[in-house]
Amino acid sequence: MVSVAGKRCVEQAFGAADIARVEAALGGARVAPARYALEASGPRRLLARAGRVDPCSIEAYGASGGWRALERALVIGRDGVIGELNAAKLVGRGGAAFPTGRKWEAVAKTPAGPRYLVCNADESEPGTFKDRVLLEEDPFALIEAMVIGGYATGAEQGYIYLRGEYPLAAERLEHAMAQSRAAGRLGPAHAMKPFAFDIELRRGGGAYICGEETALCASIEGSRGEPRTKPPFPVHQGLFGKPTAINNVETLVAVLDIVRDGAAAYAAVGTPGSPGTKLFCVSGTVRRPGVYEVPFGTRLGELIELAGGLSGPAPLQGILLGGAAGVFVGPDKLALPLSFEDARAAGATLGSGVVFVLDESIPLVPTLRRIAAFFRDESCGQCVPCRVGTVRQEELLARLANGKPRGDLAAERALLAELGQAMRDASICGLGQTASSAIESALVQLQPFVKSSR
Amino acid sequence: MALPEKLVREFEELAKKYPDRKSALIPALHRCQEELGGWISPETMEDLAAFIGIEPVEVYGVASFYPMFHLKPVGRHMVSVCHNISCELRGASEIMEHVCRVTGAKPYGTSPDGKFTVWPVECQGACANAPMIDLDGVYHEDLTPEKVEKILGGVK
Amino acid sequence: MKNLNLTIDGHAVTVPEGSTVLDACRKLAIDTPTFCWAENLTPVNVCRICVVELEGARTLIPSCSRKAEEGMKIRTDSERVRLSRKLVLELLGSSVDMSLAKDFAPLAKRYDAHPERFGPRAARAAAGEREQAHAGHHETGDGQTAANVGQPMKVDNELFVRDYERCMLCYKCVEACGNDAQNTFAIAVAGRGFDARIATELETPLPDSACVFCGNCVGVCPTGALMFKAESDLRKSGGWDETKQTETDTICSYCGVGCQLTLRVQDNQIVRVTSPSDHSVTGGHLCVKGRFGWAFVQEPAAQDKGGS
Repeated sequence: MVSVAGKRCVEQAFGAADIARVEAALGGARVAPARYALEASGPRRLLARAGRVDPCSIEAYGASGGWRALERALVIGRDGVIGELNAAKLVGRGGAAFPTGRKWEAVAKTPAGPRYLVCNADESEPGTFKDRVLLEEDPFALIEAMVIGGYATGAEQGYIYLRGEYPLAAERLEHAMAQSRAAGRLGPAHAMKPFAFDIELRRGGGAYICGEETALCASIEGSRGEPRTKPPFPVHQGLFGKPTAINNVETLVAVLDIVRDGAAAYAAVGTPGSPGTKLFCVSGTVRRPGVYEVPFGTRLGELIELAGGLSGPAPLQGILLGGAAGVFVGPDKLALPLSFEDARAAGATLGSGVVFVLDESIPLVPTLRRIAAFFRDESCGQCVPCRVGTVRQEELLARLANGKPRGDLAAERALLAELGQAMRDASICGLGQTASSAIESALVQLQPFVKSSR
Repeated sequence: MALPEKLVREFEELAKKYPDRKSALIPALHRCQEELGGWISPETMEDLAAFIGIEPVEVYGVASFYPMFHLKPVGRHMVSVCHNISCELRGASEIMEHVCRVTGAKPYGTSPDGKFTVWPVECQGACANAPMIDLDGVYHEDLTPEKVEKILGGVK
Repeated sequence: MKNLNLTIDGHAVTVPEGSTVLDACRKLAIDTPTFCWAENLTPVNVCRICVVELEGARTLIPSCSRKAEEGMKIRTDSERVRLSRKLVLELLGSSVDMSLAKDFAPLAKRYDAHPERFGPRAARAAAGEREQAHAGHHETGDGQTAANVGQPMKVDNELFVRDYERCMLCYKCVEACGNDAQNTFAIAVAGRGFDARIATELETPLPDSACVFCGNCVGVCPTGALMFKAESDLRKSGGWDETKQTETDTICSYCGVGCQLTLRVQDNQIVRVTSPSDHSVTGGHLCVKGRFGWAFVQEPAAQDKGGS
């Protein structure tokens, strides 16, 4: 137990022994929470500073390699930046995996300005906390990446849409933005040379749906967070109806390594289809829950081992991959390489990087009911398939959990399959489209209502 | 009632930043809730509508969409208890029971002495240190009933 | 104007740029159902009954709002389309009283929709109960009955009633009250998810709200949730009889604008006033006088003189 003095005095129980971290904490610098594991099995890129470098000091940021990506961006130019992202095959880390370079290019090429760059920091996918770590522990990295994004897309105004429940992240980001402005790294053109770019932090109101990019735009505009139909896509008509690049926190931080060291160096680890590294949020029944940075292609079982393996004697029951909007896989998938292409081929998803581990001691049904209740609560209510479908899905699970199905289990599963298909096919946005995927996959893969013990 | 001068000045600065003043609505709701007793009263909604130049029903439509905005009075302290999957797996229901016992409030309710409001919330991104509560904007993690007692017992 | 060529259900069709997929379907006389779409309102594409399958797209697309593009290959009667339409009907039918929505019964038959698959209806809410919901919170039931929007009718004025257990949340009334017609903004969608509802400011009764009683919301409501009080009263008393009703077109006599009115009359009493949505002056929308200011016609003295 180590006490760290700061604006908020925190007592920290350190997890895995890490001398550098403990020394830094004892030295009084505001470093790492380290209440959880922050580890890497390969190169430490996204987590280069988190837990090791004072997140409240621009000097410490500069001394630890900060701003070098921005300097190189100005050397290689806008097209150079986008070229590197394309060569590095960088795709969005928030869940949708859209190529970042193509997104930035589309915004840059859409003639009608002003253009906007928005960081989607509305991290709310259950089981996800990787962005929180980056925001709290390395806020300058996000700012540097957004400045590069502003430069490459031609946006002069950026927004960070931060979920309202992350007060420490808000405090650290505001602090980092103020220091960056004072240092001429953020702000008007005369201060920054040769271009202007500033960022405003906007706090969400506790609505999961606002992580959907069009709902996020609506929320910044002061409206209910109701998703809009696409097309038009935000790259053409986004925030305030203008071309807008919307990127997840981890995606933006990954831009730094790619731009600073080049796509080839970035691809030194990872798979041909998914170069580089990825953050995974490992929680549930593992010994050392936390955020793990591993090269793409790392096997699911290796990642769980990295997190100390199962915490109890009970065997593995299953793993929720990608969050509530993801899928459950069984113990037979431990050899699955964690890459976009392998996940897709296995009918799974990496989603936002959630790896939620359940051993056999945990009853699955309450987890499924919680997921169903979550989607019912978080549906915006606009479209019929999601607004009513999520209610019917929850009712169906309640019947199964109480052992009182309408008809038999097979009939309920058939009904859920139809409901899930309609939600997937006919909902406006990703929330409704994925609201049944974890539950349907659990029923197929883990058979919770067949084994009577659960 | 009118909005305090301080907030009006703040919101005027904010509204200037956007192509449409309505964009200032959600930050303004947050600030009103922080400064005006922890909730958004009907008068606040009317004042904000007048400030922005929209109808009160539009403010109501927006405020009632976001769970963080309370449209009814709340206690002096807000205890948000995560009840999503990672916390539930590690004893969130027990923590919730204990929070309710210690505070005297029911979930989604306020204690009779008006001191605490207890609110179940979705995943707060503290899954590695579940279960957790957020007390007035500060996370408390790796909770046990004893820790809950200590934390809430120390609140003035 | 540029023309676009599409293929729908194997048939080639050409539409001008700016047309929607729904326009193209209708040009081919393909019967495509809609609830939330109306020709005089901006498409909100929320009911999802009009979805069609676009080759190459991951999900189905809403035909009402999706702009036609060159080379689109569309299917309107595939298994996926039929399943989604069926489920939309079942989800609506199990949660909303759709009995007065004029297309509902034939559509349910066409798509073999059985709302009762989701169980018997749960008890309706007490007056004011649904308005108390806080976003992100609901009570979990046992799933044996189907949650629905059942609730007592709101009757707070003499002109029209709000029977929100018939409300499918198509947003039409909000659009008509706001940007698309009246610009009054007396109502909005409040709450979220299944508890989302059409509300006045703080649920205040209509006469105390910003409502100007133009009745344009009533004019666009597809399910009878908003209804002339005259009609509602007749229905309640069992006196509503469409076989005894006639429609008469006239021009509103109040001002010089020249709004066309269609008067629906039963037993020599006006029970509903509308205006054709394609009328060049009104676009289907009226003001309080044209919509509701006809009581004088029915004064016994007037009827004696006019001999109507």
